[in-house]
Amino acid sequence: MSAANKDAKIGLPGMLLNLPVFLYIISAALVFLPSRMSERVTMSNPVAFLFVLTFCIVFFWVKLGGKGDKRQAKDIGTVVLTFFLLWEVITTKLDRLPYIFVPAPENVFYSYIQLWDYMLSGLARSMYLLLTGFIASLVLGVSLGIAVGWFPRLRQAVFPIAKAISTVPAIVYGPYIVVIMPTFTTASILVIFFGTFWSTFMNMINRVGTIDARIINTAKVLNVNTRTMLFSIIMPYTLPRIINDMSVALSISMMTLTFAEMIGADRGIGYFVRRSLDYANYTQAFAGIFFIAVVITVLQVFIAVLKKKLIKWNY
Amino acid sequence: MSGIEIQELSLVYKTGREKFLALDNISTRIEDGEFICVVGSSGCGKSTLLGVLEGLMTPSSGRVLIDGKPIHGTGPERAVVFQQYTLFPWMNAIQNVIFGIKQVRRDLSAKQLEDTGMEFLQKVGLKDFMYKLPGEMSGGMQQRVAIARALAVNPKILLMDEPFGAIDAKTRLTLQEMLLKLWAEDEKKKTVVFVTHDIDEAILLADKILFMAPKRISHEIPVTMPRPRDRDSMYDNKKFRDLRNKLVILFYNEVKEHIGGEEVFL
Repeated sequence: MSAANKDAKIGLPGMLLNLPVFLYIISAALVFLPSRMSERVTMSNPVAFLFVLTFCIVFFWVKLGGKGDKRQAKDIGTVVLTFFLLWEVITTKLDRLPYIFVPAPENVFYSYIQLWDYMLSGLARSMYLLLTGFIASLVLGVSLGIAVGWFPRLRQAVFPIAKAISTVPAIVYGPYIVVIMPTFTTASILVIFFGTFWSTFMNMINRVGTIDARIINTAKVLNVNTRTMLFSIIMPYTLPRIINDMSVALSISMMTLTFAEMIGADRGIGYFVRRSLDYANYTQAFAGIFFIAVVITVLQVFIAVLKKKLIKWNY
Repeated sequence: MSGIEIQELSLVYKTGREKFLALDNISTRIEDGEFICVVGSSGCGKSTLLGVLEGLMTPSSGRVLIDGKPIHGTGPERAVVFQQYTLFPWMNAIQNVIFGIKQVRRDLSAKQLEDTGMEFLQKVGLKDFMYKLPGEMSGGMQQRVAIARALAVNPKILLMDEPFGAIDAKTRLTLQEMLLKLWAEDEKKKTVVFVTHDIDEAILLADKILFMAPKRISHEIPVTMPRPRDRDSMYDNKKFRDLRNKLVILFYNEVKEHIGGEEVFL
């Protein structure tokens, strides 16, 4: 009964009468009230901040009207909008914190309108490095891992070595790679590659070694050849786990990328944040950090969608 | 020489420094087209014996000949149905069947593969479930697909390792009947080696029962009741009751021996 209630369609009153909507209205109204911070700082046009608030509430409505958990949607909406409300009140309205270090939300989000072309070209550059390194690491790690894992002698020899190497984070020898590679592009792709290659490779070897014997035996009695065994049996069988690991690997790659861009790049979203910090422009640094968070979230959502499309079965 | 010939077969499991003798000098002969049931209590080595026939286990000594040729590993003349989790979970029913055919028949077109797959799924009564994933099917339906996949490669020998062991009693009866019908309708009958611990199942299905005491075949018992056999009338048949009693006594003695001759009640 309670489950049925939880899934029931929400009418118009249900959509409008709840805490997130209330918080949204207050935050949006506050934007138009007099601000104490404006006495010291030039305030930007609040249109970007209003847009972000509106985006949050629209997204919340989509979730609330959808099939998912409605209580969760309300809780998350409440937390996010409370954060924006407090931020707005403490900085812009009351000016309680040092304005240089904690910029106003209006100014942070206005950076996107000011710098959109610069940030987008930085994003394109970063995505090129990230995806090249990440996909190369995934493809090589998985296919080499399957091949090595299948032959017991090779597995027993290579696994401990891969395990030992994988404990050293790529950012430790990253500066060295930057020095020896001819261009920064190849260097950062290589650092991102090594950021996840060893763990992907090692996990794959391990997975092949511990795969359900019944699946292997079934394939053997069907007289499959080695290639079919590796790529038509073991690969699809381990695919759900590979995709699960992808989201962790992606976060590590993103970390490695930001690191690489902080040591030697002249463009890119990690570079944008570093340069903003160097010039003590914390407004732009905030904008850059939010931007990175949004980009990672979008990529993670993409992986989740990919998983849903590819995996119609489970263990 | 046609048929399966098992010659002085022994198998020792090695786990670290421990050694365990699983099969002790087994010799027997199985004729072409015979339906053989291997019966014995758990741990007697019946699945190990089948493992050797499948080619998944290598004997420590002795050998298995099929039509006079010794076997090495698995082969397309043999098809296997395991007890459980025997379908590839990411392929639907017809893909599972087609995958099996494709491994031995590389010359068939996609259309021919599809038609053959459909034909065999129809034979096991799953025409309407072709596009279901194993996870969406009951255990009995999954075993039907596994049987269709095994038969679709047109093997000479069908090896079945307690295929109905994890199936509920009612479904098991239908599956036994279906298997018998499929086996009988072939003009050139397949040789079946069927491992089970269910005595009634063995008597219903077999031409000959190989009874395994630990590590070896202790009795070869022909089942002479006429086919087609019918489970309902079988229980009234004196031959059936005698045979059943004989097997129960064998089981009983074997278990008694197993636990050191102490009195047990089954």
